[in-house]
Amino acid sequence: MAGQNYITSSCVISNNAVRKDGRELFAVEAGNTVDFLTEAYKQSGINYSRFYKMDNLSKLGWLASELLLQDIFTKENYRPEEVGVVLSNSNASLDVDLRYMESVRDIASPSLFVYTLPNIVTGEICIRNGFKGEDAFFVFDKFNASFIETYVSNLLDNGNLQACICGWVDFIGNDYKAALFLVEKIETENGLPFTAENMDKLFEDKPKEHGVFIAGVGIISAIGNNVAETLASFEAEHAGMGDITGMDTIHKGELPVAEVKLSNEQLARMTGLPQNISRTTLLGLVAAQEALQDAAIPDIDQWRTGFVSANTVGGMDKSEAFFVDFIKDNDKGKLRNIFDHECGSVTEKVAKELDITNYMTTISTACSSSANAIFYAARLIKNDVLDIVIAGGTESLTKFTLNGFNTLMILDKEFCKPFDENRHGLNLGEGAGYLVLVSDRVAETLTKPLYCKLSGYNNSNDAYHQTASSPDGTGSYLAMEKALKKAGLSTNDIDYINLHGTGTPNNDSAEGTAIKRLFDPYYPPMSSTKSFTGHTLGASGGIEAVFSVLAIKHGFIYPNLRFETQMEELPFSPETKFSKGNEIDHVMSNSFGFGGNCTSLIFSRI
Amino acid sequence: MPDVFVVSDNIFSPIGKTTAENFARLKDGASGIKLHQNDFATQPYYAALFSEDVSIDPQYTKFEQLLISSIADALTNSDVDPKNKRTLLILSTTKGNISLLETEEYNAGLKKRISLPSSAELVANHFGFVNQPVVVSNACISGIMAIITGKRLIQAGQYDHVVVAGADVISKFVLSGFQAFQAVSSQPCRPFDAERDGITLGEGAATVILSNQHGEIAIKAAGGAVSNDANHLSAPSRTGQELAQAINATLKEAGTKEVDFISAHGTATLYNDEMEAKAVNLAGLQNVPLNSLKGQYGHTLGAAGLIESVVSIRSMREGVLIPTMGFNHQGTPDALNIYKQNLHGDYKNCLKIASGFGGCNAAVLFIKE
Amino acid sequence: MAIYIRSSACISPQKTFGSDGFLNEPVGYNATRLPAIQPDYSRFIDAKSIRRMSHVIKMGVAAAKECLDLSGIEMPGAVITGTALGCLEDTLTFMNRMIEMDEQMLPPTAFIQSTHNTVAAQIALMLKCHNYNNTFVHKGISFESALIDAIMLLKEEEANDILVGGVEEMTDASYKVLSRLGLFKRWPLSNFELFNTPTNGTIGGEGASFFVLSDKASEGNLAQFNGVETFYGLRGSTEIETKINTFLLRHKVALDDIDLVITGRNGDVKNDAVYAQLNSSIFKSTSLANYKHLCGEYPVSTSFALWLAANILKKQIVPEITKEREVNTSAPKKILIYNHYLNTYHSFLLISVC
Repeated sequence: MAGQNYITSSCVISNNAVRKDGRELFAVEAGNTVDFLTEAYKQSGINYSRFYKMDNLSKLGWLASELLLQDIFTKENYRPEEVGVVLSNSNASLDVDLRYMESVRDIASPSLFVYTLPNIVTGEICIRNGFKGEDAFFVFDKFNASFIETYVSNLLDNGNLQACICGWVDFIGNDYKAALFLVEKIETENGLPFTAENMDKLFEDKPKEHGVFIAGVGIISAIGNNVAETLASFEAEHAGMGDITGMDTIHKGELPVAEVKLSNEQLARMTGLPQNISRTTLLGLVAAQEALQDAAIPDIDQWRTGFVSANTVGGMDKSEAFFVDFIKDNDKGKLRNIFDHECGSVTEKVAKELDITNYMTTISTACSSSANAIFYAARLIKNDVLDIVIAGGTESLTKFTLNGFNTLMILDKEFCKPFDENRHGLNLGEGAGYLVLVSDRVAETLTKPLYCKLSGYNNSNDAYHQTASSPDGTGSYLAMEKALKKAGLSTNDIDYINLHGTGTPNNDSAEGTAIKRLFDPYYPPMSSTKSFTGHTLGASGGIEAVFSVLAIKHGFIYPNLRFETQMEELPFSPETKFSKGNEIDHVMSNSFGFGGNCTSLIFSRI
Repeated sequence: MPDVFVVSDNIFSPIGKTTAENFARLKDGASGIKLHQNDFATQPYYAALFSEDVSIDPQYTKFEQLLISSIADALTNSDVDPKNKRTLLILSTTKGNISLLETEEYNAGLKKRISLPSSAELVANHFGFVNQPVVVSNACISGIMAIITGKRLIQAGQYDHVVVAGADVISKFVLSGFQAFQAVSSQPCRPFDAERDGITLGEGAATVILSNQHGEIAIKAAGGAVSNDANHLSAPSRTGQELAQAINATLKEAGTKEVDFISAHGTATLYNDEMEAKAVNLAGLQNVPLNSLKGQYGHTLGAAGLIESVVSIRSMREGVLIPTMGFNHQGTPDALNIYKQNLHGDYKNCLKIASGFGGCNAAVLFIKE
Repeated sequence: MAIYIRSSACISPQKTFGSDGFLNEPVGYNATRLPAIQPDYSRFIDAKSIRRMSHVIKMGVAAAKECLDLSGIEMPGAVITGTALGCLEDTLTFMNRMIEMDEQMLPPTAFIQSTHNTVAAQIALMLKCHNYNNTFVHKGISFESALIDAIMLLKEEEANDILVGGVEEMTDASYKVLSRLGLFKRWPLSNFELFNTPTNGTIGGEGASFFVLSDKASEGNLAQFNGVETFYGLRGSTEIETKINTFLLRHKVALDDIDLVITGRNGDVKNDAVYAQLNSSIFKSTSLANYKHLCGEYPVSTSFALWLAANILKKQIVPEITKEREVNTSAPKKILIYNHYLNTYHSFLLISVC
């Protein structure tokens, strides 16, 4: 009976890089695929005059075979007829077919015509190495590892061959890929059993997904104007709600809010900005500046830096003043109170102060806005668009949102009690929270330790109602489940959940049900920090991301203030006491918004 | 290892639409080769082309239509069910739909349409094959390679039945290429003849259905092997050793040294026929009756191995060997037993051989039990 | 990875929606504001919702639905929109009532529908689509940000067949405010004369254009989407030239390969200066087209331009009304769109025939 066959070497050429046995051998800078082949040939250091005569497919396959055999294959171990070549691809010889067709218009080129058969590449490999065993060329729309495994195993097991080069080599225009495997009957140090799974693994060359790390945090909210003050408030279990002082509204004294304890004048002085601009911009700059300073990235100009920020109503605090006059007479109202107060303007003004011009954008998906901003930012880094992104959100209290939420009858006249059986609604808050996200290349240059990494994220939609959450929390469930999957974690790995936990009957019931469905029977410690900061809308995802990051760094678990009675429908209740020194490796942060917009982020210790 | 049998077949060619029709006309000395004049070339040229429109359904290209017509006929003469998950389709071709490049503008849509997996999928869907088809594209040995592949997959226990079909269509692309090589004969090709001066192209399709169960007359695909010259991309081996190696491996697998006749590749190029004669001599088979059918069908590329195998199988069934058309005087230094008239007898073992660009050689042995 | 525009639907001040024609009967206006031609919404939205939904939501939902129908995709892998100003009408309705009714007894509907992500949310709701849903609200690059998001999702293999769109409404109030700010021409004019009226100001516009972006080649695909890039800041034409060259180089395309450049000329002398400079420098031997005389100026107008470009490539026709300078537009293969928004946000989009 046949013995085991082994992949004793593999060579994958794609994405401008050559990998051998799963490790990058070298990468090539080239403007196009044809130049790539020439450059890769030069870098390989191999000298073979026939190379320049070959068509692209043969060049690619031949080069891959050379690198495949280099340093590992001993030709003398085999007779010529014992070594075969079994290759496959999806486009046959189309690349050279097109070139040949071009030549037909003038004078048909015999030297091109020879190459208009895909198996010529096997011929080139055989000629180079004197292999006289079986050769075959198959055409499949995708790499068919199980077919190759069956076919080649058969040849080896029946003694037709003792060694075989097999795999995939495809070249057409701007696309190319070679993945060759050397299969022998000998077990070597780095050899892998010859199976379809192992071939598929080596074939898949998705560049290693780049990590995204948190290098800095900045925050301002009702419980502190910076990280230090915020942590002190947590430790003292001191909530930020109180009577309205900053707005002229009839709800003053009736609806508590969580205001930042600084006036626009004070914020303007802190930031050096004029005080007649939107409070949203002022708050945003305070927190973003703190985050950037905290990250202390040396020589930041060498990197591509971006700013991705969220808010929900832009400079509405100023526009409100404009409309008081405008609706009486359309020629009235101070234009500076309306001009340039859209959401994007807030981001733009902060970015300018931070000296960021490479890329900026604004996300507005209601209460999940800044969680989405953080995860879009992470993807900009993963996709190699940017190296550093400051991401988060900012929001100031406005009469518009206060009245809006009031019409929905979801504002609590008392301080909110998230996840309590007797909860009555949310308190609005204001503030800003930003993270500095960096790529692994930037991370390597930092002297300050990193906080943690962003390991998972997902946005899913509840698709149930414009404002209400579905009873079983479909959207939240999907967001949490898929974020875990993205992070490669299970529910047992989560050490703390920072809940969305607005305190409205509907949100907490839906979110709680989703957690029950997903986590049962294991419930990690969890809490809603909105019991401290109020619901800061477009800033909440950013603010709570900062809390999550700090939880990992300091081992904090934040209390859910004012919690008394466990919700009847849920088998768990939130944490009620502040604690530190906990072993926290993974934190999940939930942010759900109007329009069914549900986002979960997962931060993990490095 | 289970035996593998040929249970049904078809040839769909300019000579005829069924195996029976083809064979009857071959016995009568028919050839499909004629002088043609069309857009493919500036000068008139000899080739075996379909004179009539073979298309039935406009969604299929001519290449696909040939495959479908051939497979459909082969299937009607067998119990093999394409929808059975133990049945596989293997296609053999060298250039498939390449003629589309001559008439259509190249873009992403055409790239997809022209690809061999697209054709394979269309043909497979036409008959309802449930398994993903396999496409072999190994130059002029494709047809034999496809039979060998089917045989091996059945022997490995992967499938019970394999429908092996091959086709190629002649267009400007292929004709201009062989002309550029100065490999096209100015007359109908003359395999192994002293005055041979190149190939004549042909088009057509053929199908062989393989199964682990046999029909009334058991024709077994008893052995098959492939080798490479490792010498030159377009010129055959100087010694014929590698083709001889494939022949020997085939006979070894079949467990016999008996060969009653040989269906050679015999393209009628100077070097191919010379190399084949050397290989047959090296294998000690120089006295075995040998033919090339290129004088009747032309070189049908990816279909050649299949068409010639089907004729050979028919020869065993009927006890009639078809002669080499265009052959008069021995034209190879190494002698071969090439006959000029139909031969009659009981033939049990048939060796089919072929060689192609890229230095590939293949052999397969059919045994009538 | 190749990315394709599988389908597109566009509601605009022209007959672009549900019409067989391709700008062959351009609609003329004598105005400084071009309103979108509203389709028969009952084909897409139930009667109750039509009454409740604001203009921008209806345009967005209908264009999205039509785009999906044209693509044959029932459930997109993601829904992403770009809108600089979002649901202005609802925002102003709620604001007005809040002021007029002194914060008392306010109905919630306008507030509920005022969030910027309402259009994307309503599409998800209508389709019962639980997939990724995002909304970008960054001035002149809102739509481009949405495109970048969609491309990343495709590359990450997180989603197939992504519905992405740009949507913007012009309300009476916003028109008034922008007029007071001097963005529009002072006297009504024929939109066909926009480029022959080199004065300050342009004409306002609005619309909704949606696209299904896919990584799968398909016969029906309109075009291949090669790339998008944005940059910020007031720039001179030399710097923009460099940026264009770098952008093209990154996509392995030479300037000579571009068969048509669609620019964001809008009739405002200051705005158009940079286009004029480019048209006599790097674009001097390229065919040129414009579009803002057809749809007006608005922050996501590049979504109209992309609809135009994709259809030019599919139909192989450059509509006469868009032509500024014809060199050779007989068989366009590659189109570059260059637009800038108030000279601070610049964007390039490159698409080619499939």
